[in-house]
Amino acid sequence: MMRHWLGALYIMPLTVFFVAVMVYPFFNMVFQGFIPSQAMLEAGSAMSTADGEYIVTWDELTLANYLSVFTDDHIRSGLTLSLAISVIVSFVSIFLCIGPAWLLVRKEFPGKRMFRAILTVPMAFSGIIIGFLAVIMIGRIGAIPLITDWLFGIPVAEALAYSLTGLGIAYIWFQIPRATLNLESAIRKFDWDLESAARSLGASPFQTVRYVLLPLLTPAIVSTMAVTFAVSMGSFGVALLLLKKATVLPLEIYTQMYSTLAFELSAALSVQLAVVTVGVNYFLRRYGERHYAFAS
Amino acid sequence: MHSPRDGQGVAAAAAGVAHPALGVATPAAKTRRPISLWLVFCALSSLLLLFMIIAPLIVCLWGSFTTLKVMGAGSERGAGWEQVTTSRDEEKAESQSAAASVDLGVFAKGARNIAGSVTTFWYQYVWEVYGGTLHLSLMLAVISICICIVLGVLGGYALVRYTFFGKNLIEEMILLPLSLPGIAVAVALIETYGVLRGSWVIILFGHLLYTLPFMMQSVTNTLRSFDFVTLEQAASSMGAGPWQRLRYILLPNLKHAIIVGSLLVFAISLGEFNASFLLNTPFNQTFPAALYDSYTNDSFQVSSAATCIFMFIVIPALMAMQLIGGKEMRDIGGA
Amino acid sequence: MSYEIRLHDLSKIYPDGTVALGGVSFICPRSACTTLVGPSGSGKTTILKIISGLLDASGGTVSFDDRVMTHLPPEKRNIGMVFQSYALFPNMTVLENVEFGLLVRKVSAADRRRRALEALESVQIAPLAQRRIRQLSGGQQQRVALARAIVFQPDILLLDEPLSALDAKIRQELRGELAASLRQFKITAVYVTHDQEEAMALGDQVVVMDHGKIMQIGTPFEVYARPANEFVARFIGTANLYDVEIQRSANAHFHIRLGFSEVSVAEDTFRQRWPGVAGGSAQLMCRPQDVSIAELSNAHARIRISSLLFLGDRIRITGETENGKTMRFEAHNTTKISVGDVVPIRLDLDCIHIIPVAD
Repeated sequence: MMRHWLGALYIMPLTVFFVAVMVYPFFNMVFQGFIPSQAMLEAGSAMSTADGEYIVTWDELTLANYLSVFTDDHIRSGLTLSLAISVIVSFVSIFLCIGPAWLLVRKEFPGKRMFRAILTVPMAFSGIIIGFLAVIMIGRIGAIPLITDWLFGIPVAEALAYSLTGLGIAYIWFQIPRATLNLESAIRKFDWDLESAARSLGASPFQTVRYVLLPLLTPAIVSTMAVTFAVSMGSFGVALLLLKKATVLPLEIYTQMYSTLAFELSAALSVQLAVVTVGVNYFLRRYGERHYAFAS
Repeated sequence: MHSPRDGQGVAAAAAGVAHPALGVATPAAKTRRPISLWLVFCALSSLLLLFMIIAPLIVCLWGSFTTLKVMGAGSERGAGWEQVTTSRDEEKAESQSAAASVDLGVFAKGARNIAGSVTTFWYQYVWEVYGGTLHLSLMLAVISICICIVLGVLGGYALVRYTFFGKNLIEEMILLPLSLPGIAVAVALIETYGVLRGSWVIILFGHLLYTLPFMMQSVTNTLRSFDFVTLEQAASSMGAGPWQRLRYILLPNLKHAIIVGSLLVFAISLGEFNASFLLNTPFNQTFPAALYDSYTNDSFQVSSAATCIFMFIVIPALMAMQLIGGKEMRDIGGA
Repeated sequence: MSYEIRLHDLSKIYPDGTVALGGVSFICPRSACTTLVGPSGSGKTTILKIISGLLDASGGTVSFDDRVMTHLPPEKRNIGMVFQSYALFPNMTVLENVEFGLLVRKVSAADRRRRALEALESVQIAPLAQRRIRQLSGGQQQRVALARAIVFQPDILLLDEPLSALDAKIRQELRGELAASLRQFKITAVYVTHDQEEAMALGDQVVVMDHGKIMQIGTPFEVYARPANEFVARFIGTANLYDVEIQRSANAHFHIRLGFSEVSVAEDTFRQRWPGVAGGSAQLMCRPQDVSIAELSNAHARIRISSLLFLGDRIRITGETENGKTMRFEAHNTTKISVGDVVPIRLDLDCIHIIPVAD
């Protein structure tokens, strides 16, 4: 039918753009990951052309870059920390943001729009800015330790920013708008007659939460975690500014690329980071959507 | 509180139906329901989040205006302010990437000597040193908005209006950047289009990839919400051609969504760091990449001033978006 | 055990100043069904929510017999409630939904199951016990909602427009069943609806409301045949209303001047039927079925027919009286008339009603 051609035509520029800028580079990167990194090439029977460019033959392709996640302790610790902090931060930000989200839907109070607007502020702040703000607040000579030292004689949270706790707090900071807005939209869709029904049937507020609210909001919470997890996994700027000894996977990719100049290794790690992140996000999102269907 | 009113219920009297014993209510102790623990929890977590967001911004704002002299030797980058990174020199040597360590040294004295006065000198300095990068960032943001509007409206229209082969796949693909780690995209771009390194075009690609999904969501949410297909059929039944439908139906109804989407694109493009930073050379440094330079090299005040300039531009855009954005914003939590 | 519900001077004023309920008092008699009927925004659902405890009143008291319930949370009131949307928990099966009220009352699992199945039996959907809510039709959901509300033997049953989400045909069917069930349960019930037919069919007592005030309380017959004011007359059923002048003549008769005709009623009868009416200006109400086409000799008026609507079993006729007033009535479908005809009509004097004009 003619109509269909028209639709495909309209979507064409967008598709071409995404294929050129995302899909093709990604598969190119997957391939790059199989090329032995320069260090390995130089050690072995490397062939170089007059331009100094390496020409790689098929049988030289290797899985070594992809396997380094398991073989290299430093890289493995980066992946572990990335996963751990993303999971923990997801839970904590849900815990902190469900209250404000609930207030935004269920209560009327003066300054509500302003409140919502302020919660949205971290949305456009990149990781390094958040890292900087963490340093000036809870760094070695940050505002909070200094003020508490001045007031009570005890510096609270001194140099916290450089610890894993501080990193977590900075991560939570940029999850605030994402978690709040997602939960708000879920709570808004919730059929509040169900809560009334549970109360009228004799359920206490706690029982209402336990048997009705929680089971029905779980899909929404899972969907929200899909977002917060993915964002935490990909976050790079905060770790770049705050982490000194430990490493997270995005930071490791950057270090391999610019310090070690192991382009192929960083390509392999990027592929793995992308696959894990997108995979988990997709799985959680699908779970959420499938069970949303029950609630509506 | 109301005390039981004397006399009969108004309406019962009007109807002429006498009911006995209406005054049952003994003014017994009226126990108000207690404020629930849940509400207290909500209020406390809201306050905590507000503090978390606002307090650093205030400190940053204060830092950008203060003249307090702080410790350390004079910096090479401007006269009279200090680098506060010295104490971590060993670690700096270890890893280039771990160089950043701006600290609030100013407080060391500031807490005891609150005698600093207000200056705009830091802003002038930032303007001189990083003004060019800000210019580039603003330019990239504006170009992103223009391209996003064209591609977003066209694509959103196609997705809502038509069905065609591979539609679901394309929809998924467009939303993919929302969960794709920025660094992976940056690495892929470098390794594929390394030739373009040093040009702002490659950075623009990175920005578009991360802003297009937002514009698309804003447009498609709106198109779906007002049953656009029927409206358009109605318009064509009255004899409106494609151009007239675009001019009188599509664009007027999408105006709101486009404005909200543009503000979001602007804010995100301006703050985008991953692609900006990894692809950054002296020729195409954007403002967020410059911010990183500032954090690692300049004093607390200069860094604060640079950050504040960023906030002065981005926060109004976000606020405006919140204030005018209705349902478009609601489902755009994802990212 | 069932109680009578006493509402005293209930009011609800929202923070923005909207008055949802302006001082309402009445009693819902024990073991009977009270229907609250009125247009949307009349405050009927507000009353129901205040009785249930889901909404706090701004003033006034709610008591079940002598127990003051005003500030008790809903779960402490032992009420059963059926919601307009049914509000069945989508995360549970039919059986689990019905068991829920027993579960939170800490009834043992075996007992729970037995009683829930009994309740499902009583609304004739026991075979559906293991189904998911999404798999049920609207009518089935309505039955589950009712079973869920009565299974733990509540003191009070509250129903918020339970039939309004259904198709007209099923609504008719279920209305009869619901009426039978309510009689059988012998429970004090409050039933909110905007459908006046439903209110009269189900209520032992009907409360007509408008703008947060009670317009009339009475039995279905009283509300229909003897409306207290113009609002009730127009809201309940179809009414022909005419401004009339009433004069008492020397021969102990009241003369009701309709403008197009005159009707006289003996003084004794008049005083007995309309004790509140003294004379002067008033309104006369006659229902469509009180008007019929008659012989010219005993007719009260003549009307020119302006439109006819064929409804199958009968014809709805709209006509104009000689002085231009509209009159609506109905006739058997075999009546041979057409638009433009002038026909003599007669009012059934035993059924007409006089409403005093409000000051």
